[in-house]
Amino acid sequence: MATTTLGRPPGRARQILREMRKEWTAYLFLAPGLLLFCVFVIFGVSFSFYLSFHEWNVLQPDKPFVGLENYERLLRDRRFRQALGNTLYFCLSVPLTMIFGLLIALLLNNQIRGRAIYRTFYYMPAVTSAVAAAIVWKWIFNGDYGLLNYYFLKFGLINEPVLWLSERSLAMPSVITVAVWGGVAGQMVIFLAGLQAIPQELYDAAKVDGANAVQRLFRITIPLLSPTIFFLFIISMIGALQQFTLPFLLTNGGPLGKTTTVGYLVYTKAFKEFEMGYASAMSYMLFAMMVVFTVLYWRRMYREIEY
Amino acid sequence: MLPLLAILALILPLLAACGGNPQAPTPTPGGPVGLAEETPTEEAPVGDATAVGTEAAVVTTIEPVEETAVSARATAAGPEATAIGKRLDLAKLSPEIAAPKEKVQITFQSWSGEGLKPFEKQFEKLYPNIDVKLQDVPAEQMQDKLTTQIAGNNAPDAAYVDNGTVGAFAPRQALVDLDPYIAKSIAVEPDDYVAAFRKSVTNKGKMYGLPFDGESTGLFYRTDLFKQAGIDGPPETWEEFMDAAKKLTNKEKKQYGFIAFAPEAAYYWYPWLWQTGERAMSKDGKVTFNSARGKKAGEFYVDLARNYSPPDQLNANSYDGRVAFANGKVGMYVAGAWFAGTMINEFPKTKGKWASAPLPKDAQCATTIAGDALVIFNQSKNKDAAWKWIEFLSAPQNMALWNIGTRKSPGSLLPTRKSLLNDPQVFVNNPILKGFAEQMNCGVSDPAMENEKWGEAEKALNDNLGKAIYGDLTAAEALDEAALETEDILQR
Amino acid sequence: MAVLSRNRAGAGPGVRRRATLGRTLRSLSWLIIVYVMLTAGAALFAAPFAWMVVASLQDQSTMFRWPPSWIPINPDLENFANFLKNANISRWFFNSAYVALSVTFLQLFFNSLAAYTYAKRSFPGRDFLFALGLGTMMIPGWVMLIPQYIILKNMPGFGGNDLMGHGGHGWLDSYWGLIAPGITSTFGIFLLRQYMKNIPNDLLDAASMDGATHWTKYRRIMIPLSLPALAAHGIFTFQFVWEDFFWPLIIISDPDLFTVPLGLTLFVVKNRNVWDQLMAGSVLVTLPVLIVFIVFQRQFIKGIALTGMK
Repeated sequence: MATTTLGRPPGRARQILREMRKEWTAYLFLAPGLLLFCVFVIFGVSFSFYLSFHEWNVLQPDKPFVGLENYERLLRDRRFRQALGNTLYFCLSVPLTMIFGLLIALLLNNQIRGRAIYRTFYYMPAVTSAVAAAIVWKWIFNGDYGLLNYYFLKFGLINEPVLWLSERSLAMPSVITVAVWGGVAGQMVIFLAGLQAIPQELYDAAKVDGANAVQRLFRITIPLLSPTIFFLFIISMIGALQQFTLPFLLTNGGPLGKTTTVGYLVYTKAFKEFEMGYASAMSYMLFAMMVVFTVLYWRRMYREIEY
Repeated sequence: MLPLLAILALILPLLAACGGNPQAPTPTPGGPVGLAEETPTEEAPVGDATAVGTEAAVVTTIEPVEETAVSARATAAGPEATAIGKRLDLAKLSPEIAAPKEKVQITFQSWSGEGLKPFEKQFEKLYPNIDVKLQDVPAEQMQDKLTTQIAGNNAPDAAYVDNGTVGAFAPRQALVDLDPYIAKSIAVEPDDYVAAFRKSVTNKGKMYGLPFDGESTGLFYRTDLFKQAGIDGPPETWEEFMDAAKKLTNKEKKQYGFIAFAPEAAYYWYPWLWQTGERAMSKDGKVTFNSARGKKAGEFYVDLARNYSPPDQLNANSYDGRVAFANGKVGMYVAGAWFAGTMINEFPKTKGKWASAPLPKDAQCATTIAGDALVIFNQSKNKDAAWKWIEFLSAPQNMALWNIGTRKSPGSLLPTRKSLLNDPQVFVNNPILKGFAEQMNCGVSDPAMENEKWGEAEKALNDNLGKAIYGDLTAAEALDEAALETEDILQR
Repeated sequence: MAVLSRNRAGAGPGVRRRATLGRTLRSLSWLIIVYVMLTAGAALFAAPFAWMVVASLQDQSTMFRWPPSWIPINPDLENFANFLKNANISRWFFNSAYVALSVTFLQLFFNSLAAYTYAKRSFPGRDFLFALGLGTMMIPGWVMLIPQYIILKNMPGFGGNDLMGHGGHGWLDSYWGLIAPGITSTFGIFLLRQYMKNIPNDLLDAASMDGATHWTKYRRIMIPLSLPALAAHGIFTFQFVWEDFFWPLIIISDPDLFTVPLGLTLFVVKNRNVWDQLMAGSVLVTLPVLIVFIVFQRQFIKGIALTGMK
């Protein structure tokens, strides 16, 4: 028999087509999303990939081709390396947020009195306007009259005021603190949803078998929450690696670039220094790293959990 | 549950509509004229067209009703204030440029749409074929949005932008060269603009924007702290300045003489650099800010920052730092005239405890000038109509109205025309501005500012000065390092 | 956790009483600790919001006073009144509500359809498509901004554009531009997919044997069993769209189409912020999201009984 251009026996291709026809409703269900996706995302992604090999000052139409020059420059760019380091440092906020998010969701999933009110309070960061939140946090972190220093001094935890946002070694931890504060709200919501899917019977049975709270947590809750945990981890990491808002509002990337993340740098390069080609290259560099990370993580998860 | 939500979604806007009132107070006090807030307490002199201190000009051809409205706004500024600025015939500002014969619409982007409405109404009466569509963009995002619009081939016809934006857009061919229009205009006289403002909108010798409002950087100081420390008056030389900073600093009381911001290090260093007579770059494109004079300015500045400034404000900026000044933690504050408006609005209790003065001098007086300008975009399809609009706004009487504000919310910006600045009426609502107006003559032109790559180079300067402020480098080292990096950038 | 949902029915009388007492005391102290920590945490989490409310009740001149305090000076509702007096405020709220509700419901529908498909069905290209969606989430939004802007502007047939997409403004300055790009999201699909994977296949197989189509299975089984996840998704999406200010900023120039957050940023003017109205407006903006949260989170109280399926 003749082979197709792909070199595979024609049977395989026909088999795939047959399956596609059989499951055609699947494509129907996916169609609206895919259509939109192709129009907006695919074009956006391809265009910016194309741009990463050109130079473009955004305001003028010419986009001279420069080959790999942007990427070469990236490897030599000190600010990019620093931003990369800062960004990875910032990613510590992800496990922290998840631990707190899970903890609070667990506590508030039980028959505590007033849990609806508690949940609403813990959700507040999500509704606080970014501007107001930035003001309040800057006040909390203020060296001379900030709340944090006030209480720490009072309880003798420190001897003199700490410069949370101006001290180079403390700026990123402070930003991470604000990130955790803001991120717990969303994670709590998703964990609460995930917890609903765990049947109470499992807990009851375990209690009868004499399992204590900790054992129930690690043997029942967490394993059954693993799809949720997986989801939150991936999504949070993707978000953390692209973080822009917090450095922008709290520290303007300072002090001395200590809180400049890659997301912040991309914005600066594109819109303040009018180097859209370079900014695109930077984005793709980051993307490549994220893909590698995700693939590795996904493979590991696949092996560990029954999917 | 779902119907409940839907109902809520409908009720909320209705609730808001209950408070709805078509006469909107302008959301930006301290800027343009706030029409709805002010009810003139004086009888508006009808048809009063006496210009103060300038020669009698041609009477406008608008109906008397409009005339009164204009004067009413002017007199809302204060009892003695009459119409300011040379009164031109607003219908004939550039007779050689024809008004459009068919109806056109021009889009004008700014962050003060409300304040521009009265101007729009008057303009559309004069030019019935031109419909001005005012579009609002938050000030912080104006440049970002314009960049996106230009990239998407969707730029507005004209806009009110910060001078920095003019500096970024002009060399990249996004703006229209206005010289041909200016040549045919009666209203716009290039020589009437304060030199520094004119320079800031000029690129390669051509004007790309019409300076509309502006300010200079000056010194604010706490008179009460000065008295306590036994200092007579604001410092006028560098020695006096350093001396005052020393006297005002008492670290136990957490009081400081000065305040420095690493994120804005370069911007607030420029005046000191220029006062030595040095410039950041020479006319032939060489880096000069690390010369001997430059280093002297650098050491002075870093010395102030390291020894007499609150360490926890080092990563703040000149706006956030205002709280420290208002609370008496800082004795001297270098900022633009806008700072006066901020102090008056947000901290009225500090009234009488502070004053403003020009920056001290060294070899010369120098300060930074900032402002906003009106521009037309190359992508516009109605350039002539757009010109008519921005020219109208730039007419002296209109520029004066825009800048003065009202008694209740005085403007904190200055008009950019020399003829207006010489008119004492301009300072009726905000006498503090007088000092800042005088400083306009100390505006400096630095070849660096006209260089297309300076934006990036400034970052290097800022970063290195910041390191010096934090004590990582000495001032001299920082400047040399910044010079190396700048040369690298300029050559790219 | 043990102490809170203890099954009292199991404790026998008399014999166990002393042990019970010891356990009760221990459980009480745990209870107190938990409550204290929860309350402290809640206070910290809500603090910035509380400050926002306190500030909105005051005049601009007392908002930033030193030493700072939580008690408002001369509280009144003047800021709110002034904020609401702004022309267009009801328009802003309407726009925000319309766009946020539309996107939320559209996403709940389309994302759940897609999630079901990815979670429970197998077909050629499934993993590839899903990975593609996930992958594109990893590209920083800034570089996608201009291409997406260009697409919106040149959308053929809309906003005065001809079939080639020239001449008008396409989906810019229109509800289309605000809603259409958000009809579906990989985030939502991913979220729902994870949840749906947990739903046992036996239910679906049983339904298939009864002759149910995919649509029926989706409607009658997947949706009712996914309510908590749908609630979470709804909360997220509504909040995100309601508070989004950057996308509307870029694509909307017509003041009649402004959303509330965008309108609020007009009060932030280069060193001349109108703090009092800004705070009042910020408080008002949060109310709808809070309402959505309070209503939807009831889904997190009802448990799902998966017993008695067969």
